[in-house]
This record gives sequence, C-alpha cells and structure tokens, in this order.
Amino acid sequence: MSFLFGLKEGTECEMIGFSEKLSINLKRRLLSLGFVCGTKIKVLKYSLKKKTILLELRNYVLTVESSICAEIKVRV
Amino acid sequence: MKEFLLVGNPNTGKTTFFNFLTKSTEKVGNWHGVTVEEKRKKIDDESELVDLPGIYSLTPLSFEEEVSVKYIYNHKGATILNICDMFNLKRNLYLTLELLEAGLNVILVINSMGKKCELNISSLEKKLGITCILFNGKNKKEIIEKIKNNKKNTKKIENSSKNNDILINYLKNNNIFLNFNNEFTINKINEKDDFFLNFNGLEKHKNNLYNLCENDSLEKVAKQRFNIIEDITKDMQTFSVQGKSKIDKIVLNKYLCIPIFLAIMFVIFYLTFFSVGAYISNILKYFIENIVGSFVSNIVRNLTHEMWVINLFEVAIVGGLGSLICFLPQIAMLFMFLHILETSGYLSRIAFVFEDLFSFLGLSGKSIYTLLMGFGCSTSAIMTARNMEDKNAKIKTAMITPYMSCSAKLPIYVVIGGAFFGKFNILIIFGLYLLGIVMAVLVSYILEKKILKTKQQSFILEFASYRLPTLKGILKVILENCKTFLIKVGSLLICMNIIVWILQNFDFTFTYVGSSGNSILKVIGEFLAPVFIPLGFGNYGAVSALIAGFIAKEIIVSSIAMLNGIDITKDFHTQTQNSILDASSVVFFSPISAISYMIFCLLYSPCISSLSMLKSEIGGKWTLVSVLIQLFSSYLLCLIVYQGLSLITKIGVGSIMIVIGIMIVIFSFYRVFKVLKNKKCKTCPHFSNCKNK
Repeated sequence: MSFLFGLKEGTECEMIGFSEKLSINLKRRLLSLGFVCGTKIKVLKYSLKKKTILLELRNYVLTVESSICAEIKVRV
Repeated sequence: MKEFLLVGNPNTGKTTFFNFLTKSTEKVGNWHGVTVEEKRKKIDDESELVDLPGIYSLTPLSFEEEVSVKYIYNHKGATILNICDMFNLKRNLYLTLELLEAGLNVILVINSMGKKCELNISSLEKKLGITCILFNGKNKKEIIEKIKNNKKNTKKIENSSKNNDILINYLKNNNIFLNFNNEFTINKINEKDDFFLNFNGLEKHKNNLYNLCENDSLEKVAKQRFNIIEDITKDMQTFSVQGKSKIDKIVLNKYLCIPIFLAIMFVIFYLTFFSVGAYISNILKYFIENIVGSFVSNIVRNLTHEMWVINLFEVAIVGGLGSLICFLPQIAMLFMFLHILETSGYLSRIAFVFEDLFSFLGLSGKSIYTLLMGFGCSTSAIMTARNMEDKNAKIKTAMITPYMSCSAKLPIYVVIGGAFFGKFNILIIFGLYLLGIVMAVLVSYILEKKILKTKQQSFILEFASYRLPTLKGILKVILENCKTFLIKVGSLLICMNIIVWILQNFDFTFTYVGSSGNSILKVIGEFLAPVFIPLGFGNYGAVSALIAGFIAKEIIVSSIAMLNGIDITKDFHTQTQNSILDASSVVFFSPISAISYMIFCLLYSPCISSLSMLKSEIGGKWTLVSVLIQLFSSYLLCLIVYQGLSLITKIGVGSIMIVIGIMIVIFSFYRVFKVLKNKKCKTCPHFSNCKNK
C-alpha cells in the first residue's frame, strides 16, 4: 500500500481507501467525485512546487491538493 | 406557476440550457462556478425556470452550493431538470441518484455539448425510470413539450444499508418525522451529513444517530451509488478522457506555463488598449466629435439662449456620454478576451499553475478567476469569490479584487498618462496594472500572516475540456456587455455629471456662479485639497474628481473635463489632455504628480457598487477594513512615489546613487563588524545563553 502523493507522474494505481486524518467533508466530496475503493487513478502531473496534482479517473481529469492526495491510500 | 429547477454538476451547461429555453443572455463559461446565485425567468405564462449554482452532491461544501441545496430542499414540489454532460455521464449520475433517493421529481437532461449524441436515450430512460431528454441546442419545442407533460416519477432507489432498521427505529422511537423518505434520510445519516440534519432540526440527535452508523458507512453509501451507476451504464458507449489534451503538454510545461500566461495577458493588453482597441476608439471619437457633438450642440443652441442650459447640456450630458463612448471599444475588447479565456477551458489550467503561488498567499487557485474578472468589473468579480470553500480565502480574494485595475480606471490612465508620456504611456499603463497586482499580493500576504489565516484549503478542481468559442457567443457577450455598460454606467454617469455640474456651477445659496466662481465643489475641494499637497495634487479640481470617483471611476475623467470647461463639440480627447497640461487650468499636474494621481486612482477605494457588493459578500466589518487599507496604502504609496521622484529630480540621479552607495558601504561595515564580534563571542563560555548574540 502507498499514498497517492509521492507516486511518479504517469503511474497508474487503484484506490483502496482514505486515511483517518482526512476530514469528513473532504472525504464526502472525494467520494462524490468518484474516489471509491477499486477506482483506477492515474497521476498525470505535479504542479511546479508539488502543491497540487493532476489526476485522471473515471474518464475525466481533475486537480487535487497534494495534502489531500497524501491521505488517499492506493495500490500500484 | 410551475417551477423547474436546473440542477447539476458544475460546468455541465445549466446556464446555457437556461438561456436556450428562456431566451436569456445570462453569463456562461467553460469553468466551474460561473453561476453563484439563483436566477429565474419565465418559460411561458405557466412555468418558470430557476438556474441554480452547480453541485456535486446534496451535501454542500461552499456557500454557493448551500444556496442550491437549500433551494432544492425548500422547493420539493418543483420539477428538477438535472443537467448532465454526455461525456461525463457516469460521474454526473451520482447526483441524479441522490435526487431520486430524495423522492424528487427528476427529468434527466443530457447535454451533448453540441456534438452528435451516440447514447441510447430510451435505454437510459428505462433503466432510470425517469424521463430523459437530449439537449443539442436545437430542439427547444420538443424539450418544452416533454418537460411540461412529464408525469411525476415513482422510481424508488433501494437502500441496502445494514443499519436501516436500527436507524428507522431510532427515528420512530423519538417521534422524528422528516419530510424526506426513509431511504434518503438513512443515507444522509450514514453520510454524516451535518447540513441535512441541521436543516431538519436534528442537531440534538446528531451524535446518537452517528453512533448507530458503521465506521465506513460513508464509503459504503458512495460505493452503492457507483455500483448502481455502473449497472445502468454498462452497455453504454465510453468517450475519450474529458479535460485531457495534448495542448496541456505545452501549456502546463513547468518552464513554459508562466511565460505563456504572461504572453497571453500581454497580447490581450496590447490588442485591447493600444492597437485594435485604440484604432476603433479613434474612429468612434472622430464620429462623436465631428458629427454627433456638433449636431446636438447646434440643436440645443437653436432651442434656447440660456447659457446655463446650453452649458449643462453640452458639458454635463453630451460631454459625459462622449467620454464614455470613446472608451467603449476597449471595454468591449476586454470583455471579449475575458469571454474567450473563460470558454476555452484555459482558466482551469491557470488555476492549477497558480495554486502554488496562491496558497502561499492564503488564496485558492480558484481566486485567479475572480482576480481576472476584476480587470473587467470589480462588482461582478467580487461576487464570483463565493465558489471558495474557505471563508478566509473568500474574504481575502474579495478584499484584493479592487486592486485589479478595472476597465473604468482605464480612461484615467489613457487621458492623464497620454498627456504627459505620449507613446511611452503603454509602459506607464502596464506598470499601473502590474502595481495593482503587486499591491494585491502584498495585502493578501499581510492579511494571511497577521489577520486572516486560511484554514485547511481543499483545492479540488475539475479540468474543463478545451472548447473553441463560437463567433455567435463572442458577439453576444460584446453586445450584452456594451449594452449594460452604456445603460448602467451611462445613466449613472449622466446623473453624476449633472450633480457634479450643479456642485461646480452653483454656490451654497444655489445661485449660478459658473465654473469660475466660489462653487460648492470648489469650497469642498479646497477644504480637502491640503491633505493631498504632499502627494502632488493638492488642488480642488483633482480632489473634486476623486470625490466624484467614489460614485463611479468612470466619471473621474469626465469630471476633470467638466472642471476644465471642455467643449464636446471640439476634440474632446486632445482638449482634456491639453487642459491637464495647461498650468492655468483648474486641474494641473506635473509628470510626477500625474503618476501619483494615477496611482491614487488605482488604489484609493472601489466604487459604491463594488462597496455594496463587498458588504453583501464579506460583511460590513471587512468592507470597512478593506476601504481603510486601500485609503492608507494608496496615500502612503503616493507619498513615497511623489516625494521620492521629486527628490530624485531635485538633487539628480547621480546624487541619489552616491547616497545609495554610501548606505551600502555602511551596511557592509556593520555586517562585517557583527560577524567579527560573533567570532570573538564564540570563545565566551556564556555564548550559548547570550541574549545579545
């Protein structure tokens, strides 16, 4: 198991859950965006200072703050 | 009146659909959070359409989402037109399921985004058990017929939560009867949705209810919904990844992203203010000065011989409007480029690029949209700050938006700067725009460090697909904005010009004294003028125009023109510039005081409409703080600029360089001395605890 933040650009992984530290509001928002267990996620790009990450999942692209990605558990 | 609510994820085309059905011209954009408040309009005599801000689910996270969810909960009898993006259907259906769980009457509208639809709509209709409509921008009659004849759907979404019975029993035992069905209520409890429970007055039971839920109940509810969606869409066609493009390899390249953004901004700036925009402006100016102005003036002079009436008409009304119309092409171009940026999908890329920098200032990458809009009009821009989840980030964004030089300030730079700096004025104007950005960054940084620390930001932003703006869309935006600008600003400008004209030509006993007498404005201006002497423009004309500028920045130039007795029938632009250069005129500047005056105009305070918008968005306290900061910072900066530049011109650049050189030498000596002292101290046994090191 590893976390979404820290994976190299271009890495594909499968989501396995959230860490306990993530607030319930953010968890709920991520779930409604399709971050459920088993979802395939691809790390597309990091921003200049790695503050945000560009991700591809469920046929669309979105940017998520790195601190949030650091709380998303994945399996590569 | 039958009510139809437009509900859907952000950027799915709700407002486009709203405009399509109601023939409205509400603002649309290829970006999340364009609609920030409810908008309503009749479809016909029997039905009304309400456009709501985009939501991802029925649990709101930001203020704009709260507006939508509250509206949906309070209008359960209304029919919901759930707009979904055809290319993002799987994710969009998550909200559809929630709406169906809540027992609401839903019609699914699939926006094909102007492309050919390859989805099997009737199959989807069967699986979902609700009416599904394809929206392709052409089939208006068919859509209206379908939504009006739609019968209330009876589709029930089964809830397989294990704790169903336990939660239902708890609600029954405590005599809690909600207006929503059990399936939805249980899901909302399992989702630990505080907003839903507070809305239904269940704050007291919150902890008890949450204790009855499993630890991962939230994940289970979402998983269950996505399983249903997978089941519904399993035979459907899949599309290419939305929001992914080869262009991004260049636009988001770490070395190129910022230079590309700056280059785009510079091109927009150049085309708007100095080439195409200025060229069209000159043609218009020629037309107004030589044809319209003379024609109107002759008519008035033929009708009356009363000098004050002629003067009022020529100077206050025609003169004011003339100054406004001359800048119309530039304003139209500015709005056109903003529209192109919005609809192209580039804004979400800019937000991604700038998130790093903005988070350092306690802002969100989403702030870039508000700040860019600020170059057009602060009033509407401030409103878009609503889409930020963090309250402090929202307050800061709204507070720094007026630092972005809005289009109304442009005439000030063009006229005053043009008078003194001629063709080099492009550098002055670019510098002023840049100064506004620098001040915004500084103020935001200070607020972040000292007063308004941003809490945990949650920057999650969907990437919009690239789209080419349509010519029709561009023309519509130009026409709409020009119309609004002329009607709203024009009417305000005429009123204000008349007021300023009265203040300028009448004394306190309301006797006509003309512009040379002791008019009300002159007395007030002369009373306040000494305050501005250290800034280089301590004369009543300049100060009076600033007072008028509180109402609207557009009228500063026309006030200056009026205070100088400019005749609209002749070359207005050149006359204004010449009169500013004329030392015997009422308002006179030197090149340095002109720079100081323009900086003051850029920073001193937003106009009244922006202030009222600020008050409604961030409250009276922060509005007052914002104005005080702006007044203080503008005064201080102008003081430094004027006195500093005056000193340089008085004693010469060479002398200044000598002074700076001496200061560098002294500072170097001081540093060397300190290092040597520390070296010596290191041998002292008390060095580690020494307070003076």
